[in-house]
Amino acid sequence: MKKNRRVSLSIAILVPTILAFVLSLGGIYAGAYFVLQDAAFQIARDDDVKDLVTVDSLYSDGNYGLLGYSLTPISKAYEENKPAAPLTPGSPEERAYRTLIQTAASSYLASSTSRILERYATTFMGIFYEDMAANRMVLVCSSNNVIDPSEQTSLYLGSFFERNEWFDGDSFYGETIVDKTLGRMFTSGIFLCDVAHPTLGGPTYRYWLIRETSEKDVYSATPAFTRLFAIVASATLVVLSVIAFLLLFFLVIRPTKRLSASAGAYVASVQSGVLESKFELSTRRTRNELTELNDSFYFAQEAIAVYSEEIRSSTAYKERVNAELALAERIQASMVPSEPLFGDDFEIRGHMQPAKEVGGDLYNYFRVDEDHVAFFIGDVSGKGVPAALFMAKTSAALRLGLKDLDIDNVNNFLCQNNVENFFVTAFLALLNVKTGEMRYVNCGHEPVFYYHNGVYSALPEKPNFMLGCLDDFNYAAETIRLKPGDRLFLYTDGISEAMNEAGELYGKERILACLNAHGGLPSGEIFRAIAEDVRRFVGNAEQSDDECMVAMDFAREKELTFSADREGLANVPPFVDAFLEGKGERLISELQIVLDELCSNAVFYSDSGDKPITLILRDDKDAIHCTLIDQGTPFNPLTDKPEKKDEDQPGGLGIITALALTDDISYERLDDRNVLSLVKKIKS
Amino acid sequence: MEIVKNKEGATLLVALKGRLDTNTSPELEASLEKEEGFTDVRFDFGQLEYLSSSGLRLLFSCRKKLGGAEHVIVENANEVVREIFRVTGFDRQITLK
Repeated sequence: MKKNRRVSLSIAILVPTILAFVLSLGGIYAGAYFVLQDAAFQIARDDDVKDLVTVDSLYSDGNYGLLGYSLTPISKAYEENKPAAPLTPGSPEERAYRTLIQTAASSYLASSTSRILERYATTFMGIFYEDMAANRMVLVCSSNNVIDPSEQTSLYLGSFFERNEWFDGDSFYGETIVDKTLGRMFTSGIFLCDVAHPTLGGPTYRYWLIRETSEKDVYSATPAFTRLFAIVASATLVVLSVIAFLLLFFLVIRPTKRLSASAGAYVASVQSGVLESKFELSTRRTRNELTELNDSFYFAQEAIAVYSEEIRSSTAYKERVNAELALAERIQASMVPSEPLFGDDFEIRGHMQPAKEVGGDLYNYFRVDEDHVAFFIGDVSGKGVPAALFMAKTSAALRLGLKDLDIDNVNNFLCQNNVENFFVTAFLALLNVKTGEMRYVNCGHEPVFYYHNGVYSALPEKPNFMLGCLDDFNYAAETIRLKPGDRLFLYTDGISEAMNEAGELYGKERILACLNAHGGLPSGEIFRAIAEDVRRFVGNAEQSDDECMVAMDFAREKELTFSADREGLANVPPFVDAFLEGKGERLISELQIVLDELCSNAVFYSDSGDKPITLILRDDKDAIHCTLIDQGTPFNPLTDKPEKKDEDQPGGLGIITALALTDDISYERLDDRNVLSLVKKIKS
Repeated sequence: MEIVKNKEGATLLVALKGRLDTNTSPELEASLEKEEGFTDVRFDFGQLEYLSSSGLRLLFSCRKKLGGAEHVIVENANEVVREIFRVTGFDRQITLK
């Protein structure tokens, strides 16, 4: 393909314009010149002046006879009255002759000088007439030199003739014409003087006709000139304007409009979301800034198309990945139980806050059989999707292996094909909920905190190795017998190694301190307290690791539901006995009395009918909380008098007893239930 | 609840073992109703863990039937029972030994 030539717009427009300007100027000047010339020659063709010759040519010839037959009235007068012999200067003949010539010259001046000299406006010229025989010459000359009006023309002319050494200065005739319209003085006149002839010698009479005039006369003499000049100048200007406009239109305006239209259409296509090409590569052979701009737009448009396609595909990819991650997060979330696991003798709940969408922390709890529950917490090395995948495998393996605390087998399974060398730290436990006997193994995990007699402390444990590292490792289990009210708190390093902005770790000591500060709280509240404390500690630092906690309460809260009759009531004392076992006879007796009063109240006076009554006992650090719920008619035993069934018996003894033996009793009507809550403090 | 009854002249001796509450007081009530011909009753609460208001009501009906605090005697009551008596004012309704 032929390489296109580039012509800058400034050159493309400026050069022709300048050329046209120069040509026009030349045209105007040439026109003016020729018009002027024509005008001058027009004048020159006039009969009166056809024989005028320049002084210079006269001199160069050296032929004085050339002027001898002048047709001017002056030369005519001169010829006709030529004296036969030279006249004596100052004689009456000579004076008469001079007067004759002067008269002729004067009349000539009056009639036609204005036309004679116009041609020679810029040069000193003249008519030179010589009488060879008489050694006389007549010279008519002019000058456009400005002469001071106060001076005599003769002085000016005199200076000329002095230089020529011909002029004796004695004989002079002249008159002065003042052209006041131009503010200049012009002289005109005829001079008759005696000069010494260069070759013939001797005094010679010379006649000088002098006329000065101005350009104004020239122009006024040729009115056609101004018209012509105006036409030429106007035509040039029109041509110039047309050229400039055409150049601008074709080189700038039209391409710019096209560019603008394409750009507008392109923007509209972008806004409509359907990206369409609106620019074409320029096909012009001659390139300039606008074709380059067009091509730049074209390439930008192509680049935008490619880029937006890239964005579209990468956005789609990101969306897919995000959707998959969200799904993975849900799957992972479903691997850990979201609901607490309750039993008559235990309660286990967990809390998980992944640092990324999916994490490597895990926990689980489940019933193994009637008497046993298993629970564990673990932390897979690493974070994100890889850790989550290994976590899933671990979770499944533990779920199967935990039934009989067969950790060795789980470990061997995790070691198999562990090409990426993941490992898991974990705490695993199997609890007999009837006896409180718990077997547990800590596989390189954080220490577990054990709540006993109102204080948290680290659970004693045998050192074991992390899971997934060593084949055939023998894991040693530990056994402890939990007492009612005991608790376990399990966590991952997302808690203990939460880092603040100063780079400090939250640490086990802070966990322990926080736990002991909130020992009496239900486990859900404990999670919140720990999480808040960690967040306070971490401050503005980013959550660095998954946050995972598990709490197991053993025999902390028990619930009895019994029918609202005498048979149902009989279930209460053994239930209370079992719950309070080991708390001291006196406490048991007093609570038994109180609960007997309140439960029998509920049975006999609440009109519960066949709706069962619920009794919940909760063992806190320093008090027993009891909640009695019936669905009978609204009845507040603390203020309402029971409808007496036995007129003979003193009423209100029961409630007096209950009030005397408890530390706090309160009544609430919630929905359609009577809820009586009481607290019995444990005195040490 | 175990109830052991004896007669000593016109005095009925009742030894209770266990708990006297809503569940067990009907049993004691029925057992006492069988007895006739006594003017005083003496309860031995040495083995009684506690009693609730239903037990108190039983004591009260005995007192009413026999006609005065001096006819209902409670012996060997433990701290919890004594506390109940004191709180309810029963220690003045019966003779507590």
